Amino acid sequence: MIQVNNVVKSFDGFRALDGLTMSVEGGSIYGLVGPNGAGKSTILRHITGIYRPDSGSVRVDGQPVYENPAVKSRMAWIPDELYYFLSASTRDMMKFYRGLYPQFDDKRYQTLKDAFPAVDEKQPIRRLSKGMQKQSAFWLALCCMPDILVLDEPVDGLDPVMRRQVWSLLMGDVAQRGTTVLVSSHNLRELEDVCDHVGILSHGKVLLERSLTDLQDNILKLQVVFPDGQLPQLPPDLNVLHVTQLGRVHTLIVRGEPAVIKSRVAVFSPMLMEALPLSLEEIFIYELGGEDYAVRDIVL
Amino acid sequence: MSWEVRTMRSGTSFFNTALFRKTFLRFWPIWALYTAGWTLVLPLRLWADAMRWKGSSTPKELAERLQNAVSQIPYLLEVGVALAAVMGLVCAMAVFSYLYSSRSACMMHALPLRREALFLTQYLAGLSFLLLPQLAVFALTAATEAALGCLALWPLVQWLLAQGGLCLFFYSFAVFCAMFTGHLAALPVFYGVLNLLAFLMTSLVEAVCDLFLYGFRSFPSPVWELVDHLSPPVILSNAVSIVSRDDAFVLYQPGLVAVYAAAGVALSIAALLIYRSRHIESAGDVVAVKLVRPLFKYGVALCAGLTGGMFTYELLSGLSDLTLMGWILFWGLAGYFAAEMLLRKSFRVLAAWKGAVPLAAVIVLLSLSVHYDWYGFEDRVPQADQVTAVTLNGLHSAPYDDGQGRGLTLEDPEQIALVLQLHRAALALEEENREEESDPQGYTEYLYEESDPQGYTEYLYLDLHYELADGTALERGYSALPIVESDRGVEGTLTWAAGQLLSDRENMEQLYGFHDIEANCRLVAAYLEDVWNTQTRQYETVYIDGSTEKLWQAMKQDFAEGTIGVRYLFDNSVERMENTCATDLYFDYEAPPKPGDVGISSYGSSFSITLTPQASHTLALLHELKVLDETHLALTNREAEALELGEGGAYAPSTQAEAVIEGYDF
Repeated sequence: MIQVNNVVKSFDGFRALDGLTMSVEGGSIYGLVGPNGAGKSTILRHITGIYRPDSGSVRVDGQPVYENPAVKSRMAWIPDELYYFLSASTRDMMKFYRGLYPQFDDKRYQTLKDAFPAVDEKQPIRRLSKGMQKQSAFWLALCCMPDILVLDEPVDGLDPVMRRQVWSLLMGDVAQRGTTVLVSSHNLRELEDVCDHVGILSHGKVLLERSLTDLQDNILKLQVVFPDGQLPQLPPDLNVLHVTQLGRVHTLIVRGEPAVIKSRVAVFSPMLMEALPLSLEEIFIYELGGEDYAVRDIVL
Repeated sequence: MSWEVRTMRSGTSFFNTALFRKTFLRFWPIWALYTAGWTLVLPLRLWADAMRWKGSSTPKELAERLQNAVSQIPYLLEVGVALAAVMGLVCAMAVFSYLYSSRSACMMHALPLRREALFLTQYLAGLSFLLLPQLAVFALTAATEAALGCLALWPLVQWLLAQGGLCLFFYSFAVFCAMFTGHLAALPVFYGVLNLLAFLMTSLVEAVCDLFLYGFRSFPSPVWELVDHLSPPVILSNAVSIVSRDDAFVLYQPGLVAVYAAAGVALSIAALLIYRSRHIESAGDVVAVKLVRPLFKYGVALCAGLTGGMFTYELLSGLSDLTLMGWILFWGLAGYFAAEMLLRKSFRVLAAWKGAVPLAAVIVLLSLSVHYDWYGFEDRVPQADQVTAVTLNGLHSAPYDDGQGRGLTLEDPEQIALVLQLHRAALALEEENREEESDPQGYTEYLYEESDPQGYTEYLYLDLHYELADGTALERGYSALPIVESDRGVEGTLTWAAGQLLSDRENMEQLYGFHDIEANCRLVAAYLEDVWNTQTRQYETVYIDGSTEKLWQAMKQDFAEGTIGVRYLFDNSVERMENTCATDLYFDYEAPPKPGDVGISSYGSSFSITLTPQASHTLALLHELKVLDETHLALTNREAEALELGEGGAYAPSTQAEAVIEGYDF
C-alpha cells in the first residue's frame, strides 16, 4: 500500500504540491488525473523516491521510500520522458537492470520478446521510434517483476493494438502477482477501462479520491421529458449539479443515491425518464465542475 | 531468497558493480584516449628511441642513453599537471553528467540505490578512468624497460605516484565543483575559475589597491604564498618540477603532491555530503545548491566589478581613481544582474534590485574607504624604535655595474632613521607623484622647466620592507619619485636622504655583495670591458691572464679606501662623469647551485665594478699586468663623452680627443 501524507513541495517559491494526501491500495490500479501543472508527475517522482518532500511523508507498506533501496527495488517506473544511456540497446539495459533489481527475471525477458516483436533488442533505444521506446520501457519494467508499477502517461505514443496488449500484460500482473499500478494519464476514457481507483489532482492537492464504482454510484444522469415541456420546480434538497435542455428533453446531473433520485423525480410524472451511466469524463465535469476550472479544462 | 533479503543487501551496499561496469564501458573513449596518450609518451617512445639509438651507438653508449632516458621519466609530470587538470574535469563531467538533465537525473535516482552508493560508484568509475590507464602504462613501461635492459623502477614509481596524486586531486576538485551546479556547461567554468580564482582576484585587488593607495605596491609575500596554495595548477606545477639530489632526479616537493592528494580525498567527502543534500530537481540550474546561490550572485558581481572595472579603466587610459570606483560599481551591478539572469533563467531580473542596493553600498563604501584611506595606510610610517630592520630596494644610482639594483638591508638605527626620512620625504611628494603617475610626460616637462632648470632630475622607484619589533612587517612601494640635484644639500629631502644612504661605505659593500662572493664562490677569471684602444680606435674587451685573486684584493683595497664603488644619484652629474670610467672590471666566478637547480653542481656568473681614476691599487696592478698601457686606456666618462662628441660620431678620434688621451695620467 502506498500512503502519501500531507506532502508539500516547492520549486523556487512555486508550491507544486500543497499538502497532498492520497493512498493506493495494494493490488489496485490507481488512476491519477488532473490538469497540466496539477502536480501529477511531481507526486509520482516522490512516490518513486526521486524527489525529497519539503514536508510530509511517502511510505510503501509503512516504509519510507526516499533513500530506501529495499522499497525502490520493488518498484518500477516508466516516466513520461524516457531516458536511456547513449547507444544502449534494450539488451544492454536489461543487463544493467539485472544487476540492480534483485527480482529481475531473465526468463520473462525472453518470454516478453514475443509481446514486443517490433522492438529490436540489439538496436540502440534512442534510434527506435517513440512508440517502440515505450514498448522497450514496458518490456524492461515488467522484467524487473515489480510489486509496484508507477506509470506516467504510459501508453502515450503506442498504437491502439499495442495499448491493448500493454494493458493486458499489466492487468495480468495485477491479477496474478497482485501488482499495484499507479498510473497518471490525461486519457480518461482509457483509465475508465482499467482503473479501479481514481484520484483527481488540482493545484498540488488531491481533490477527490474514490473507487470508480463509488464515483459512478454517487452521481446520476437523468433524461426526462415533462408533459408541458417545462422543468418543474424540483425539491431544493435534491442535489442537481447541472441541467441542460434539448427540445423538450431535459438532462439532469444529480448527486446522490440513484434509486432515491429516480423516485423523487418520478413524483412529477415525467412522460419519459431514463437513467444513463456517466463516463469518467462526465463525472469529472459535473462532480468537480464548480470546484476548479482547471479540472474542467482536462476534459473539454 | 525473498526479495526483502535480497534487496536489503543492496540497501546496505555503497557500491554497485552493475552501475560501475556500465559507466566504465559507456565512457570507454575517455580512458582509452588517456591510455593511448601515456602509452605513446612512455613505453612507445622509449622503445622507438632505443631502436633509433641502436644503430648509431655502441652497446655501452646505448645503455647509458637508455638509463638517462629512463631516469628522466619524472620530467613528464610537468605535462602531467595540465593533463591531470583537463582529464580530471572531463572524467567528472562524464560520470556525473546524469545530474544535468531532468530525464537522466530522475532515471538514475529512481534506481534502488542510496545516494552514497550512486556517488561512490560513479566517483570510483571516474577515478578508474585515470588510475587504471596509469597502472597499465606503468606495467607496460616497466616491461619495455626490462626488455631493453634498462629497468629502473624508482623514476617510474615517482611518476605513477605523483601523477596518481595529481589526478586524484584534480578529479576530486572537479567532482566537488560538479555537485554545486546543475548545468553541464557551467561545470568547466566553475572548475576553471575556482582553480585560479584566488590568483586572479588577488591580482585584481592588488591592482586596484595600487591605483587607490599611495605607497601600496603588493600584498605581503605570506598572502601570495597562501594564494599560490589556493591556485592548485600553480603550486602543483612547481611541486612536480624536477631537482637534482644526490645525483638523482627527484620531485621538488613530493610531500606537497601528497597533501593535495589528501585534499582531494577531503574534497570528495565534501562532494558526497553536498550530493546527499542535493535536490534532483535542480538539474538544469546553474547553481544547484540553494545556499550557494547568494555566494554565486555576489561572487560574480565582485569578479565582474573588479575585472570589468580595471579593464575599462585601463581602456580609457586611467582618469581618476574615482572613475575607477564608478566603473567597478557599474560592472559589479552588471555582474549581479547577469548572475540573477543565470539563476532565474530569465532576462527579467530588475525586480531583484533590492539585492543590488547593499552590493552597491558595499562597493561605494569600500572604494571610498580606500580612496580616502580610512585605514591610515598611506600615512603610516613606523617609529624608529619599532623597526628592527628595513630592506630598501630601488635606490637607483650610477654607475651601471653590480652596485645598482641590489637591495639594502639595514639594521643600524642611524641608517634606519635615514630610511624613515626617505619614507617621509616620499609621502611629502604624494601629490606630485600622483600627478606624475597620471601624466608622466607632462609632469616630467614641468619638473624640467620649473623645479630645477640648472640641475638634473632623476626618478627613484623605491620599495621598503620594514621588519617591526612586534614581529610584523610593513611594506611600501613608491614609483617615479623625483629627485633633483639642487636638493642634495637640503636636509630632509628625498634627494638628501638617498644621498646619505649612498654615501655610507658599509651600505655600498652590501650593495656590491662582496660578502656573498667571498663566502660562497670561487673566482675564475677577470677581464676589462670597454677599454679604449688608441690604435684600433675602438672599445674592446681585454682578458686578464692569472692574477684574478690579486686583482680582487686590489679592488677591495681601493673599495676600502673609498676610491672605487662610489655611487652617484645623478647619472649625468659632473662628479659622476669625471670620477668614473667607461671601463668596467669583471670577475667571473663559480657559484654553488641554487635550490631547484637540476643536474648542476655549480653555475658561472660574473661580478662587475666600474673603474675610477682614483682606484690606484687596481689601476696599478692592471698596468703591472700590462692590461692597461699606452694603447689600452680606461677613459673616464667625461673623456669618453668628449671623444664621442669631438668626432661627430661614435668612437672616431679627433684632435680634441687625442689631446685628452695624451693628457691621460696613468
